[in-house]
Amino acid sequence: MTALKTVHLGSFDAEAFWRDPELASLPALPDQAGRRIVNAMDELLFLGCKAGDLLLTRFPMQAAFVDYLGQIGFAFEHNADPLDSETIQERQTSIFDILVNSSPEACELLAGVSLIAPYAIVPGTQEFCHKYSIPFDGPSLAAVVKANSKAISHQMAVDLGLKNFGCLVGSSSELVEQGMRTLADGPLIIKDLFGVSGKGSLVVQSESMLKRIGAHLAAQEKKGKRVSLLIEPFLAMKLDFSCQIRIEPAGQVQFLGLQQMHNHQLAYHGSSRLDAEQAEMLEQVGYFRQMEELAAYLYRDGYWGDVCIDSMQLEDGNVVPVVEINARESMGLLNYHLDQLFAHEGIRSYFTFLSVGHRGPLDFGNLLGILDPAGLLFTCKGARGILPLSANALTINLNQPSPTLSASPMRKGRFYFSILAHPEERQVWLKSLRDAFQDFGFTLYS
Amino acid sequence: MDKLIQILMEIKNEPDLLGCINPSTDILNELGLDSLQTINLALRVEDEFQITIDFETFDFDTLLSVKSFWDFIEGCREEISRLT
Repeated sequence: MTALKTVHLGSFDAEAFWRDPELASLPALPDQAGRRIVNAMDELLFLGCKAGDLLLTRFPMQAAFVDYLGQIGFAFEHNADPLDSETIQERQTSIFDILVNSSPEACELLAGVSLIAPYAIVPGTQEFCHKYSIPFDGPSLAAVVKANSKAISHQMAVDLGLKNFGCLVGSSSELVEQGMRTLADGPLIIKDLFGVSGKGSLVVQSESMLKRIGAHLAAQEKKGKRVSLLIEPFLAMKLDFSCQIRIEPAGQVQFLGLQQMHNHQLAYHGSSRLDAEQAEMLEQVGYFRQMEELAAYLYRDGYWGDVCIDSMQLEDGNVVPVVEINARESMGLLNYHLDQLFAHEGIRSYFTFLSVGHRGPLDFGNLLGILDPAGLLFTCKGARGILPLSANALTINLNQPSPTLSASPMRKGRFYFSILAHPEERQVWLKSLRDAFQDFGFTLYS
Repeated sequence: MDKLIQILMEIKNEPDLLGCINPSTDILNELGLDSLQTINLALRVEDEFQITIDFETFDFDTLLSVKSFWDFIEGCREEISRLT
């Protein structure tokens, strides 16, 4: 029997498309270089491709990277031309909208595709399926948006009697009032309802900063925007982790795994499979039953598909089962795929990235040519090494000079990779990779 | 400017940066501040120097050196003094 051909694609800034534009936003500064990097992250989705599947990426994958992936066993089709034009790159447009509007090459590649595996369902996903005659059996966009809102995950925790510390506020004055009460006991976090790790959350440590944020929101209220934010005390955390679940269209729940999240400040830095001892601890406190209840709740609300539920264990040992719900694929799911593909006799995947600066231009093939003879590059299952997961996220700002980029000669990039090694060896591999990058002329930001 | 450099080091949270940040250091591309760190910098600077930054019109090129950001801060303070 011939396997059905699946198209993999998506926008990694899905939250931006789910967010109601009438909502007031927390203070933020635009970051065009960062946006380009996020736009280039879609090639990470090769990890879910089976032989013969199609991966559509906003920017074409680089030949040296595709060749390398072929050598370690990934055989998928991909687009050779950009789906995006230079002008569209500057706007926040989902890959689905781009494909709905135009892309002659995609029309040819999509012939024979029977299934879709989107990173996230966003506006344009169903229209894309309709245009290219691909059956769509996902939940409605409204159900997806609802499932991803922190207002709903907070309400679920309340309804299910789960431990949570959040408080929803509906105006700038309520934010300041409630924030002052919380600040009396220590710092607090203000969360946008559709914020993601590293964006859309602010830690507030002083009354003056809280009032400044309140004034920023009040100015938007005067222009007709609506405030809806979540406030939580900034809690001392012992363990940050997530649970990967798949809810089938008929409602059955499949547990895929638990991933430890390695965060720095509020920003995501990596994922690795949670230790068996920690999973056992979660079993004892009833965590998996709580996840089943949450999945059932999501399904009742009309959602099915991939879910990543972020959780944490506090310093006092208490487990907070729902920090946020990501009703989409996730970094943790990508690391799950990596372990499924390459875990072997104690070798496990650690999914992470380096934030770097480089004066460009950069040939990704040359970088692979440095990593390979240095013995750093992963070459086959059973071996240990660094498995690069993206090329364009590293080079997109380095190789595309544009008048809108800053005048600085240094450009930002992000190198996603997996360290496939025994967990106790990870730091040694990471140090060797950092040294190699510095020798190659990169500035390491973290 | 020393106070600004201290805030930058606190936001990056990397003791190795001590002595590496000077007036010509590019805040965005040499220190590599991410979006969260950049907004935290802006809020900390507002708090510390009693100024208000307009986030919608803020020119990112101001962050291309510590000195240019310091000049921006000084300009905001002078504007406040002039108006009061």
